[in-house]
Amino acid sequence: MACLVSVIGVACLSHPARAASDPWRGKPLVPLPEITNIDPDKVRLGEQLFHDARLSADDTISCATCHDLNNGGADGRNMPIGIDGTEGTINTPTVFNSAYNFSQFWDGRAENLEEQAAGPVHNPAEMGSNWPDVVAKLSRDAALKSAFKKSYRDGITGDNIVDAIATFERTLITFNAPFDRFLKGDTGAISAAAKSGYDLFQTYGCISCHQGVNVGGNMYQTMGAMGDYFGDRGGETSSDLGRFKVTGRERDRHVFKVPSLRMVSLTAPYFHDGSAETLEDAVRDMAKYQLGRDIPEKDVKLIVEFLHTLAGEYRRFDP
Amino acid sequence: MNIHLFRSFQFLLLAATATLVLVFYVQTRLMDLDRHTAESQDLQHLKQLDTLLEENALKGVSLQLSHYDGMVEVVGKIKSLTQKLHDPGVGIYGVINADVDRDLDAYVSAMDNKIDLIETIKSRIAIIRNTVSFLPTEVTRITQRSDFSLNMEFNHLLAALLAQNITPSSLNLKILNQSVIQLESLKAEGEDKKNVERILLHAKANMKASADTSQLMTEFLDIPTGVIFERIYTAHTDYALKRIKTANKFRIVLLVLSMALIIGLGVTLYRLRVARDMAQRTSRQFRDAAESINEGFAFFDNEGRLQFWNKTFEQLHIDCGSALQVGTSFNDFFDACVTSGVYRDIDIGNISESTTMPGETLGHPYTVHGHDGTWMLASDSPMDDGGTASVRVDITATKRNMAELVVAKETAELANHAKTQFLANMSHELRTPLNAIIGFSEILKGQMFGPLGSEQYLDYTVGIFDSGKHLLDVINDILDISRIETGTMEIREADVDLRALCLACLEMVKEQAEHGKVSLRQSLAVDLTPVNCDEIRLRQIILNLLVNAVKFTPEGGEVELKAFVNAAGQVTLQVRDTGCGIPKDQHQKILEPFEQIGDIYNRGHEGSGLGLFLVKSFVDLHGGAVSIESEIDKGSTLTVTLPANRTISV
Repeated sequence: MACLVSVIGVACLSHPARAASDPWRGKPLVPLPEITNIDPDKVRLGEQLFHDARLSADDTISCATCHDLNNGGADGRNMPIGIDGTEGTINTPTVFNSAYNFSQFWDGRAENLEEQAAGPVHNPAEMGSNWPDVVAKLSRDAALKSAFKKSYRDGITGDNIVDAIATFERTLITFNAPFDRFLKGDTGAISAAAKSGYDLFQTYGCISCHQGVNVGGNMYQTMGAMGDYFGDRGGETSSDLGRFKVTGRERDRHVFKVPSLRMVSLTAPYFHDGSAETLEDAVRDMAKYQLGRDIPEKDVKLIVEFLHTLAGEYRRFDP
Repeated sequence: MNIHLFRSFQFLLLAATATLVLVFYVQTRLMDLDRHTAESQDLQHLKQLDTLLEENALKGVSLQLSHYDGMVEVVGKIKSLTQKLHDPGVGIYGVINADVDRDLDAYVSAMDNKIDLIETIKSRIAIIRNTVSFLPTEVTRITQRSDFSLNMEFNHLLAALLAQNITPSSLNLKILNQSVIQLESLKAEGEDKKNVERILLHAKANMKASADTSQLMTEFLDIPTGVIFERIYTAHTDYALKRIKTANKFRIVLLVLSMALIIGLGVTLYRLRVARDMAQRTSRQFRDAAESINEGFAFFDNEGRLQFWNKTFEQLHIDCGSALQVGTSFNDFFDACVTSGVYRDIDIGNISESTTMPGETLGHPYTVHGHDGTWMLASDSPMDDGGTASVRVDITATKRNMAELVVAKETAELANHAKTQFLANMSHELRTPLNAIIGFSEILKGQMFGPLGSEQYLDYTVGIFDSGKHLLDVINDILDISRIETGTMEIREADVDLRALCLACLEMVKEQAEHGKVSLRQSLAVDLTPVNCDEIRLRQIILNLLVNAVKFTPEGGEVELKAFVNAAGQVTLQVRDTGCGIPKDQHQKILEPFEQIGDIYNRGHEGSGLGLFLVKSFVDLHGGAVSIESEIDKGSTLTVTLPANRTISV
């Protein structure tokens, strides 16, 4: 038995050793990795469901309605429009690279893509539906039914729908961003201005929060850490409570997930309230309320230049 | 029966052992080592991840983390692992005991707590990073342009803040607080005021974030995930050890049972083999025995199929042809025997039938006469198991001997009859001239027609007469015997005065007795009644007995005639003498014709030897009985008993 335990111990100790072989260890930003180990059938099914309006109560809204894959994976609006033209209360984040977010939604109430996918379906201001209705509707589609049967023993269920959609979303990765190419050694991949922007991004401290593989999406931060953002904006809505709504803890008031900046050049307007119309505005607001400083306009431009290099291209998954 | 019972018991025992082996095998599988190993690995991994998380937190706090992706990965793994261990299906929840389940619950909530704390810590660290990187450059920028007095305050604050950030202590915090207060107390104007506010904003944000981080880290590190983990891990290992111990115990039982099963199987196989060998040997011995006997033997199995026959049987049924082969049914075989004439005639004794159906003979011995003259004694006996054992004995020779004997007997009887007839004829033929001899010699003896002359002639004449008389008696006896033997003797029944008859007979032998100096006695019962019988034959009976007695009694002896009715109402005649006696073995013989007692007197007595035979014959004709009691040299007593129905009651 003692022998057994020691064997297990050795096996466990090997985990950190694997992490040590990561070439990006110690670097604040990391290129997006390749997709591995994914079921193509489920991806196809998920893609189909992602674009299927039957997931909404009145068959008008699909995931793709707001997460437009041709429009940076978001809707380009301050607030989304749900069924019957209902306006949502929080800005639509991009679906691209969301697989690399450490949690989902602005307030991080969903731990993963599967949990997230069920959210909008049930949200009255979004798709306003429920699984029994959706499953009933989809079950009338023989082709879809057989496609489900192929990948799932129990056919069409809520769990299987979100599993397929989440699987598809894991392929929504924007590879080959100029900045990634730059990180990988292609020094000419980004302009000198962008390089300067990257330096500023680090020295101004943006990198304290927007960091890692997704340039964000791996931590929470208080909106207005260095300034009274909500006071200056005028008035506060329940959507501004952030993680407080999830945890109920005072220290989580106004705390939001730090969003990924990967597709930031394509997903205006910005912030959870969609209040920043342009990247420049967003950079300035961030500098003021999060970093507690004024940044010269030329630096803003340079940082924006850098931010533009973060967007990669989405290619439909085809193994 | 007992053997069968024993065998079923043995097989039951083997089956039970096999079942137990299976049960205990399953018991030894109780401990799923693979799953336990996986669980242990997960637990160990979780422990590693927990440590890694704490390391990451500490690194983060000391601003050594470039980004949080690693920490995010660790948290993700911790979440999925705790979830897995907490899942009753794949984890250890609900498997070991309630304490462990409680600890698992506590561990999950402690971990959730830890993860929540780390998220806030991450946020605060970002603020600290930001302020720490901002303040030195900003202070440098300001001091390059502002006047000297403010510069000192800024530098003081920066130094205190950096000192507190790098080596947090109450003293450094105190100095930092003083620096902040001092800077706040400055009355700056315009651009300077803005600079002071910005510096203070960052300094305060840094201080607040540091204070928060310090408190959160304390909370974070105080969460007893390690302690709970150790409890769970120990319980899990103990549980496995206990399970393994139990499984090992079962393994020993399993081993023992398996060995018992193997030995049992071996013994059973050995016994079956021995039994088979024995059965084969018995079968062979039985065959040898069946082959060696002189009787024909065949065996039909319980379906009536011919299975075995010996050489003799084959010889006896050689003409049945193809019917004599393995598998022929009993009925077909029997039919074939009848058709082929091997069983031409069948005699089943009492239940003899003109046509005998096969099977009717079952259990009954019967005789068979074949077309070639063979006789067989046959029997088809049902066996206990439903088979039939057929035995055929060749009795042709016995039958032939018996036939010869019958012929011999018939020939002998025929010859005897001829002899009797001859005697009867001869007697007649002899009697006629003899009557002339007796008659004329009587006339001569009486000298009816004048004297004979010489005295000598008279003597010769008397001799002729006596001899003739004697010869006549003998011839009469022979005639009687021939009548008896040819069965033509009849008795003429009449009432006979026995007393008078007895006295007459005594008178008749009186002269002979006197001549032989034998005294005659009589003892006639007073209540003697007449008897219903043939007077002439009864007289012959009494006379013969008396003559015999006198003849065989020496001089000075005595002969007594007794007549009485015995207790059973039978008329009884007894003649007792004091003669030589009759040996026991001769008693029966002297009652047969032409027999006299030899040896002792050895033909010293005249007589034909027919007397006693006639007595017996006449008594037999009357339905009576003759008995002899005798003692050598003491005398004999011959008793004649007539049946009670011949006694006439007065």
